[in-house]
Amino acid sequence: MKKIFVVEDDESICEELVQILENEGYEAESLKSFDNTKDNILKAAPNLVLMDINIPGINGRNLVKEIRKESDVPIIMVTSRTSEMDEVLSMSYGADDYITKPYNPTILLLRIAAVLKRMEGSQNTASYRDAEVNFSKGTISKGDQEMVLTKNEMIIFQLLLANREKIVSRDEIMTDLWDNDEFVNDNALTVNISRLRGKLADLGYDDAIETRKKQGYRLV
Amino acid sequence: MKFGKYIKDKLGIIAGYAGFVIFTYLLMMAFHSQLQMRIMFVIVAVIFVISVIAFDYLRKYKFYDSLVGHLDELDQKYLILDTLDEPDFYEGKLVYSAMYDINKSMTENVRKYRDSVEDFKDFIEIWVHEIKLPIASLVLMCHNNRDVITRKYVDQVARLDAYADQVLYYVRAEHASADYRFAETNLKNVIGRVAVKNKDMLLDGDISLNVHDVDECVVTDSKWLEFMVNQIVSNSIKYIDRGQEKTIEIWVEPVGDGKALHIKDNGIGIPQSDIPLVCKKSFTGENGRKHAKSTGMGLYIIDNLCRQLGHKLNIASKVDEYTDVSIVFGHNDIYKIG
Repeated sequence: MKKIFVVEDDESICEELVQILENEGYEAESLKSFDNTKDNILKAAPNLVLMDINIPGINGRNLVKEIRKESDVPIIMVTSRTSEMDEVLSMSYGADDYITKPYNPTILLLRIAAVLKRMEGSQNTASYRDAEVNFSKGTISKGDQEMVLTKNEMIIFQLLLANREKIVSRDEIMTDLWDNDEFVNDNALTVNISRLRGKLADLGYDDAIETRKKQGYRLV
Repeated sequence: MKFGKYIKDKLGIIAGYAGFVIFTYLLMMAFHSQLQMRIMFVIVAVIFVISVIAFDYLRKYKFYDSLVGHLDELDQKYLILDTLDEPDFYEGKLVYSAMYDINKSMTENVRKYRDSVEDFKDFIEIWVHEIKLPIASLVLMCHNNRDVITRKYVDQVARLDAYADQVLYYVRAEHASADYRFAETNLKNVIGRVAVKNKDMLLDGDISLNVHDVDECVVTDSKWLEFMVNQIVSNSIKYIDRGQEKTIEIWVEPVGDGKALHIKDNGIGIPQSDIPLVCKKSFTGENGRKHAKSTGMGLYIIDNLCRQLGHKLNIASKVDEYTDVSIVFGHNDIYKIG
């Protein structure tokens, strides 16, 4: 299980963040006090650090620098001030990504997943049952049979595959599509999913995508 | 300073001199002095008077002429004192020191107000950042309790956030120049972020978003541009209420040697007579009266920002057909450094 360390001084936000991360299947840990922040973070040995720039006791920029001296752990910075965003944008921080408050939780989760995936080395391919999925070519191939997916279908399939056996809500799929500059509406999403279903069925995977009423979809 | 008017002002003194010359002349006549001597006296007296007046005129001319002249040319008239040399004659010194005192007390007064405005702005800015924390908290809580919390709550929280943002940007808009960071910015990314921000409102309102030809780079401050585009899109969402197929179209097209970012909706439009006024502060117009949700600040702030960033805001509209708001980015290479 991936461990995410939350550095955030607003208790309520911190609590909710930990809950969101845990619901998503991560192990989440947060700082109880802000003494020895750096050592506490490093001691926890997380897979990713989610850090607010504005924390008591130490300047966020220095903290990142200090951590960078000893560890390559991915860091996502959270900013609430536009002036800070400028600094982070200039990326002199050494952070891997940034997000501004108040963030869309779905996007936050997508970013975290993306950074974690990048760290593992960007996979260009994955497998689904006995088929090979090629993300950059946008194809699923089984034996000598190859199915070309459209960009939208690929985004949906990739998200479902990353959360295989779990329920993915329509809103999450929608957010992922919009985050990838595909501004589709509800109908188009339904159409895309039924096309994807059709293509999977053509490869012999009938009922690969389950519909859960009012909850979303599940790839089995 | 005009010589004619100066002489007119000095008529009393001149008349006095003339009286003195005439009186002396008559007195000399009474003592039977020689005619040549009297004529000599008159000539000398006249030359003497003229030179006294001319000398006085020249002394004051230097000071008053620059005072009047500079005052005409200056934009900020209160800076006049800095452009003048201190005069070397008594009246001038009086005027000069009076102006100095007036200026000083006015400057202090203005500074007092400026400081209090700055303090207030700082407070508002800090306040907005503080209010963002509970908003962020609410957003996360809504997400964690999705099963019991409906979209209505999420939408209201989003509105809270948008209004808080507007206050922040308004406070900073007027003195923002120190805050600008110009860089090559891809419009696609800016539009993407704005779209995601407004996703729920667009989907709920059944508004389709048609974005094309936006993979273009311009030189601007991306954070402020994002704010402006977001404001324009929210306006479109607010005023699109028309039942049938609702669309917001966003695209970039070249104009002259620059580029124009168009955001066009097929909403209620703006009456022709209101178009020149929509960028005025607090103007709400016909649509504002009908819809009662407008503060009249959105476009005012955008217009202001556009001018400061060196862009241009254009609005074209037809009632019940469309509103097309565009931001024109000039070919501003001056911002490119290195």
